[in-house]
Amino acid sequence: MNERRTRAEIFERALLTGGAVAAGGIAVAAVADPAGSQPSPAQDAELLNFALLIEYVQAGFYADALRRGSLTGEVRAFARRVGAHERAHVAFLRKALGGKARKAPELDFGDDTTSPERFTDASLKLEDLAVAGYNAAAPNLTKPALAAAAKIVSVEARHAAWIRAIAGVTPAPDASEPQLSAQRVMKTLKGSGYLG
Amino acid sequence: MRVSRRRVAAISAMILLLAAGGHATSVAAAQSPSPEELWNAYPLKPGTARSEPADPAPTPTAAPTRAASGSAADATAGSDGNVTAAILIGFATLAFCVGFAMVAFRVRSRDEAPEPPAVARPVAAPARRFEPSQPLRDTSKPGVRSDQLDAD
Repeated sequence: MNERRTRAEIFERALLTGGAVAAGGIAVAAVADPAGSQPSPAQDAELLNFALLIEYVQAGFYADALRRGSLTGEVRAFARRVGAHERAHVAFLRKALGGKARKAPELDFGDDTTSPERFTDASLKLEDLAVAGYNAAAPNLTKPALAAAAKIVSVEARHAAWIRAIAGVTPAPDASEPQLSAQRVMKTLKGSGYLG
Repeated sequence: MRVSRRRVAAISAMILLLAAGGHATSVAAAQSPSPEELWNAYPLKPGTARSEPADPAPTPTAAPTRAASGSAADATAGSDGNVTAAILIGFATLAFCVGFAMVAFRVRSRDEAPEPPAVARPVAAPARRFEPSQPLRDTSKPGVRSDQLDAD
């Protein structure tokens, strides 16, 4: 076997191998959804911790707004009622997760709790985002975890409708909502700047 | 220079892969808003802005599509996985093409390198240079031999 032929064969093999790897990667990337694996207790813990993070932010947001004392009337009543709900959600999820529950994050709400207008805008985003977060997690939860999450998401939807009504925005603009991925919800939440 | 069909096919494939990878990367970059942009755009839609009155009789939608919604966030809703995959594909393709090009270049360089000479050629002696400082020899007169000196 001469040397030139050997190099050609190696080159051809490298081309075929590289092409196969690239094609395989493309196929896997196109088919597989990172959040679309089979439901499992381990995945439940991950997704419920994701929901717990949203609940921590919401509970902290309402507590901060009430502490600053800038809210009055229905907005204040909303913050008190919904804040209590969010604290209950945190406790519920922490209990469900047990030792796997994540710790409360460092939170900084900036000026978003200093006036009723800013509070209302931010609350509307947070409540809608919470609903989107639970909906994103739902298809990948086991049945028991899904049942637990369903008890919360319906309440979050009521919160969203309530704050929309306060804000003068149509409470239920669409018959259905586009499905957001958990990554998108997380990315949007990070965009708030509330998470330290 | 003789170009093999295999090499032409390889170069063509490389160009196509580069074009595809570059396109995928640019599309992914264009479709990926920052977290701040997502937060600012979320979730209000043009039809639900505070300045507009609530729709008293919303038209029922049997099967709403993504095209029906108009906000920046909705335009890319649910596409995180696709964007990430496109970025990965783009980088993988680019990395593959760079590696491919390097291998092709090295193989080509080896194939086209001149064979080293088996035996070194004898180096020709340099021609004598004319030195102007030396006196020119007069070749018109015959030289004097030693036996002639003895005769004198």
